[in-house]
Amino acid sequence: MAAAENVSASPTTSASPPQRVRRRRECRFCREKIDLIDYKDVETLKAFTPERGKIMPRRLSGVCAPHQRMLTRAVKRARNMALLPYVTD
Amino acid sequence: MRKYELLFIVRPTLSDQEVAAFIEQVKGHIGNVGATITQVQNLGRRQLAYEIDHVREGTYVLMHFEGSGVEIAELDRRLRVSDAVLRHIIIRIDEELKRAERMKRRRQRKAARRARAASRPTREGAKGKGGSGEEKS
Ligand SMILES: [Zn+2]
Repeated sequence: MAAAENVSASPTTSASPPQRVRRRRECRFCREKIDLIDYKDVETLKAFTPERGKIMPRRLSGVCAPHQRMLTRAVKRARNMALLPYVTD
Repeated sequence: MRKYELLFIVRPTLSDQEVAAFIEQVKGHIGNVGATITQVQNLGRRQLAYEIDHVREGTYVLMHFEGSGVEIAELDRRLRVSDAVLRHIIIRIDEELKRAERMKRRRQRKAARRARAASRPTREGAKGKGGSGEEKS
């Protein structure tokens, strides 16, 4: 019910959000034309297992479903071979 | 024939010569069970992401081989009981490679279709206006 307050000259709130442009980005693996995600490619896998080493959900990473399946499989294999940690504290 | 990839971690207490000898031994196993080795690569010593058996590093060795599949169980057993091996994994790669090939072909077909559609004269008749990069998918 807060109707009246119409702050016209407010650059921070009324202006278009500067960074958060909700541009639909194509899946990174699709864009880079990657057909196989190798579990030994630790650098790539690390980019999708930030902080505590958990696999980033695709709603955050924008990875498509087929590539997310390949990615999770690769991460699990990499963990098994001590290329990636299971948990990071 | 199925294609397999074997990756194993050799205990860091082994010297370079011992690692080399062990690699030969594994190659022998693979040959003995009737598979054909196509690639052997010593990836070198690296830190483990976590401790295994009280050690924090090991030598990674990669092998590719082709076989019928019946030899895998025996190879797996031998690697598991080997004191030199901290951990190993054998994965079948021919199906993954095939799937990757399918994805690649599908992508190329789509790209070709897009290219045809783009080169076809449209209402505006403008052909390739400054399009050096990719189409906006
Ligand atoms: Zn994708």
